[in-house]
Amino acid sequence: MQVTKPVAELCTLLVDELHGELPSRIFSTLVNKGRSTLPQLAQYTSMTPRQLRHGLAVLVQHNLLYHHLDPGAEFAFYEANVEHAYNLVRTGKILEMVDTSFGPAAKDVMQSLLLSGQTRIGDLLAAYQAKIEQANKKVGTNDTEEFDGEANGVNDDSKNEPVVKSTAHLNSILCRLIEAELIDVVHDKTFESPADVLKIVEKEVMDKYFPNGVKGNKAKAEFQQRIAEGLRKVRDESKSLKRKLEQNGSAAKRRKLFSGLGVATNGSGAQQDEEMDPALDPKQVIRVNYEKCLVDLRNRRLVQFATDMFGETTAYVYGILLKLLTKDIPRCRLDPVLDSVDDDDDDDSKKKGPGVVTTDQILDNLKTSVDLSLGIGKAERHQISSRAANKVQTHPPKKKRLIAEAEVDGEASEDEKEDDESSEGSDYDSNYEETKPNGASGINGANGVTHERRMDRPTQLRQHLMLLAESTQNFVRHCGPNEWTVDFEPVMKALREAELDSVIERTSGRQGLRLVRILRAKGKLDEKALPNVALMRKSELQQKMLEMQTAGFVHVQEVPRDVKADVKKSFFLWYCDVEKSLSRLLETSYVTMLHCLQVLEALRRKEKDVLQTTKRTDVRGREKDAMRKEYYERYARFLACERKLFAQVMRLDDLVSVLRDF
Amino acid sequence: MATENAADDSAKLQILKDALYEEIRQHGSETRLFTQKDLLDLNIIPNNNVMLLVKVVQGLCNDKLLVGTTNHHAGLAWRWRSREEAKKYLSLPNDETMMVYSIIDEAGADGIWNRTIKNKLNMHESVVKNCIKYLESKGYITAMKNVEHPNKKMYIKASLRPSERATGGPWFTEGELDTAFIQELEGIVFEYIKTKSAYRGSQPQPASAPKRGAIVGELRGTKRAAADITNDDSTAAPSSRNSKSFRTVFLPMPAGYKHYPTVAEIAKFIHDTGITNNTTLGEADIQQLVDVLHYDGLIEPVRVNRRKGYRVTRAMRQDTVPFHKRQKDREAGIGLDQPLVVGAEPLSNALTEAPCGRCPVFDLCEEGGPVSPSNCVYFTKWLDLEDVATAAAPVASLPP
Amino acid sequence: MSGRGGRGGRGGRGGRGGPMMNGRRSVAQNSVPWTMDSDIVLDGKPSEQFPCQDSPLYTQARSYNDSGPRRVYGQEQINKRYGTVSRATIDPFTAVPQYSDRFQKVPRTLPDLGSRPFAKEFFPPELHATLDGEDDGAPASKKRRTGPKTLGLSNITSYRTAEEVFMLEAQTGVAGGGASLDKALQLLNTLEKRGDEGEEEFLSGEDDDDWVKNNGDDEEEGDAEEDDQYEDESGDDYNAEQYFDGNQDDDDYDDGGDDGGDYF
Repeated sequence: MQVTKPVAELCTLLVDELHGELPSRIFSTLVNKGRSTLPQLAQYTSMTPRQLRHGLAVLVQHNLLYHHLDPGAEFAFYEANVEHAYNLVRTGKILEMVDTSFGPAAKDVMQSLLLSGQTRIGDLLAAYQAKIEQANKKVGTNDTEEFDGEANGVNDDSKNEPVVKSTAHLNSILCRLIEAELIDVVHDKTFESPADVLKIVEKEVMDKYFPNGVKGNKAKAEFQQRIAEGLRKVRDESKSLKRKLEQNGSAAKRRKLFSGLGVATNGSGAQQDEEMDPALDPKQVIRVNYEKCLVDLRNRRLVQFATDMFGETTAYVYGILLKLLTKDIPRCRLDPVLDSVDDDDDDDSKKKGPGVVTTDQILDNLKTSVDLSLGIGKAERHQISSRAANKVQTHPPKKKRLIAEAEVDGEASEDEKEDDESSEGSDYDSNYEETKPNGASGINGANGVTHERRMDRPTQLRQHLMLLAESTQNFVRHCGPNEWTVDFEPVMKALREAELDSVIERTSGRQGLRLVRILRAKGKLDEKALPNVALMRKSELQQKMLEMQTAGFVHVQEVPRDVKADVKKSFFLWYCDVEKSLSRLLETSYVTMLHCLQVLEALRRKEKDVLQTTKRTDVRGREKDAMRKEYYERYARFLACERKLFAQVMRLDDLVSVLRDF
Repeated sequence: MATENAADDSAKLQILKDALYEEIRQHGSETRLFTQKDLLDLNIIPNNNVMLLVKVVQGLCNDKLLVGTTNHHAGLAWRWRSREEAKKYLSLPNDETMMVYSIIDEAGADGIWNRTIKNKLNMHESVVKNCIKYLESKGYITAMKNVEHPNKKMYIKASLRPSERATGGPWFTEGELDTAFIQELEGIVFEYIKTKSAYRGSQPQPASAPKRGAIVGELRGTKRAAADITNDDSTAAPSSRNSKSFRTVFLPMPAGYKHYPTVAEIAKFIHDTGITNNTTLGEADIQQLVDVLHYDGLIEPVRVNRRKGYRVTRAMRQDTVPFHKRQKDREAGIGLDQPLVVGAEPLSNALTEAPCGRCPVFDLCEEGGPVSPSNCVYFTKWLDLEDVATAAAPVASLPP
Repeated sequence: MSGRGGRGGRGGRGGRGGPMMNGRRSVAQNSVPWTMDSDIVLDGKPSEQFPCQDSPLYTQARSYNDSGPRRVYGQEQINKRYGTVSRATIDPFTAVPQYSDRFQKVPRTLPDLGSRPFAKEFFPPELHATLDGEDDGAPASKKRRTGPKTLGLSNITSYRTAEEVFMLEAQTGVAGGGASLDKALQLLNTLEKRGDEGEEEFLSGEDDDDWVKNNGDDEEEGDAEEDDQYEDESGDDYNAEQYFDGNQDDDDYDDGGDDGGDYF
């Protein structure tokens, strides 16, 4: 992550927003000055060491800093962890995601972790224990007190009951979150910056394997390999609890059987369920693993993308596919060195990247309530080339698409056979017949009949998957008979382009988009050649191009025909550099997020008197009654603005995630 | 004797001239170049007499029936000219006019710029002007517009239609790109592709208005999931098919669909409808339109086996109002602000919605500068705080 | 959001999102001068997505100097932007003990670390004392903290989405007409208050051990308790009352000593 000025300012404001002014001041200083010790910070900030220590403690607690203490040194070095600071903006999204895929209790736990920072399991258990006891006591008293309140009360009751019901329940939730890698373990190198970790590992490798130095190419290669191994080991340390759970496999496996029945949070099965989980070591310290959270957030974004391109049913199927596929993917962007060595044991999965999911696996995970017949049009079977639809692509798409197309053209001879292919009894045919017995009148019949035709569910499912596989966005690759996978790089590229395109279309109109896409397809193009391709008037076109050049969507290269470089005798070649446009878009997003927060700051300053009133202990909680109408209205308006601005920041993060992290 | 001979000769020459001219015309169009050898091989000139051929050709040139040119490959060569044309040449009052006319003639269907005439002939401007005036008055030449050089004064022989290059092809009307015509055609082509590449069906209405990127099923909140189930049940039961909760939508065709319209089919459709009765559109022209729609992101090419067809993008987000109804509305003045090519609403993201995404002074905006987020008027408006200052007064004056 | 006031100036969690924030909302046409498309929709997703963080570690003094320079060039100027509270900055007119001071919430300027447990092994040793709450610069005798350290859990049991609130409201409304709608609103208000209650407790920097236990006590809003709070000192905060009561704990408002003004 490149820390540009807007990123630095944005992260500082985020830290301020969530953890307050003191930590944000220190954080900002660390971002600006780089690695510093306590005395250095005191010098930079003119704050007292005591203030600094308090602020630093908060920052470390929330993983917003790296720190490093050289052996024997008096003071530790602190370094800003900008990635994690940025991640603060995703807090809400992560909670929502956990809520929908693990239920409200898991969300509650996740929320506690997000708010408390790294936490010892024992402390978390104690805290929940206290909370549960408190709630239980209250339920007892409430029974008499609010007896008549039952009429209004369903929500009231459920409110009193804690979502996390027992420490066993908590333990079980933690196990599941750990298995999903959404939570991982804090270990002694968690707080070392990547550079420090590398240094430590290098030193270890040197001391252990190369006491006499690294000599020769072979040794160098081995050295690199050892380092990669060492780094991987460090990384895996954070998964120690997960590994332990996996060794304890039987319980996890049995629970998986149950989980097929739905999220068992408060069913009767939950009790047994919890008992199957081994009690976690209370001494372990855990934290939220943002890397894995991002994988899940990416899935959600892709489902959204599929919804935009196809429809909800297809997107739902896609969501299930993604969920199954990414279960064991630890991060969105795999490290080319570290993650390739990772799969040393089984070479197969290494080659296939994210692995594969079979049609049956997806089928097993679909909700029975979902009607798969929705979302796809109907066609007579002779209108479908099942060979084309079922085409298997064993390898990820090559970068040059031209090659792929040429191949298709080369298949001419096969294509001629296409016509009689439909009689071969592809699964498309046979499945129609399963529900509609042979003798039935309808198959070749009139239009009305098409409605009654039913395909069986696996066929319907395949239809959605094949549709995704056929898409120009490369949502899915049909990588083997009934095997499906996702090549994240091309589909993310398509998504990034779609985001760029929507910005272009929204700001420069459809014609602007047209021109950009022409350039993308044709490469560099002379200004004179453009109007003819775009079917646009020259003057309009020139103006549009200029406008888009300013916005950074297109670029121009001037090629003089002679030394005089006369305007009339120069070529103006327009082109568009997608990467350049995307990085500009990213920067614009950061700045816009920053602006939103700054506007909020300004609003807070403006409404200072009102906000101060709301902080009064006699006003708090009953603002409407306690405040004068005019004051209250100002306050309500401020809250509306605040909400709108936060929502906007969050949505901008959607864009940043797509452009930078997914 | 000599005179008789001469008369005899000239009569003979005339016969030869006529014979050669007719024979040449038999052998090719007005643009074909005939070399000396070609002419001899026509077997009109007795004994392959070169001297005689020269005489005959010279005579034809004088009658303006043959035009001599020098050609890089073949050297000196001639092409023929029709008798009517020749007559026009002969009727011209002077050499200058003839030269001007001939240069316009040679420019053919592309026409020629009056400055080029002046430069090529090295004549005084007023002379050229006079000649052009005379030729125009006689109806031999006419002014024309060239789309590539809209500001140049061009002339063309009156009998010719300007070339495609000069007129810009079917998309131009009088040298101007006919955007109205293009858009209308695009609308029709798009509608055709849309209806041919997507299935018009009905789907159950979502439980409530879908929120942004309504994520279905498991990815939704529990409340929504519950709503889903009831909704799904109703679709499973065929009896509720006619219930109100269904809406018409376009659905994507199943993978492997073989009948996505091709350019040839679209061209045929356009031809058959006869919308473009006074313009003939070839497949290449239709391809151009289709390409533009593709660049606009409205349609996308799909290759199923060897067939390259086009389908509409984001079928489910397409407008289902039938074309003719929209057409009627337009005639009645409804929806005129809508584009002719409707298409799905473009996707949007946070950047296009926040004021910054389209702020003209975005690059200057910085906290501490003259333009800064804290004094941003666009944000003020976006947050509906614009009228706060004015609204505050009446509110304050209300009784407590 | 309208009828049911919220918590402090920060916040903006769900629960207060009215129907208006439910789903997309169109931006008023021409709301910006440069021809904003009328069809652009803004997704005013409720900001429960951005949960507020009012944990004991939150330092909330927002003592920004509005009047200071907006653009700064050096650390010295940056520091100037943050307010200090010293004798020199106290307004003699408002610094007199006033009745309404009782209701003024004391801003926390330093995080309250001592009350909760930490995994100290992951902190540099130089911070360990701070984590134990033994870095409060106060004489040892003043230390009050004796109880066990407990991790406080936020009582905001769920960041309810605006949608949920809306649905609740609608359901009740449909069921019993206007009366039950009122009831629902009332209910919401109670819920709301309940939420604020705990938070308030916890913000006051006092009785942190009770932070969990006090959740949801509807009745608990009496002045008596607040008074209690104000009898207490809070070691590291500036507190006008305390100051003028003669508790001259000068450490905290350093009069331009070497350390510079205390940070607020």
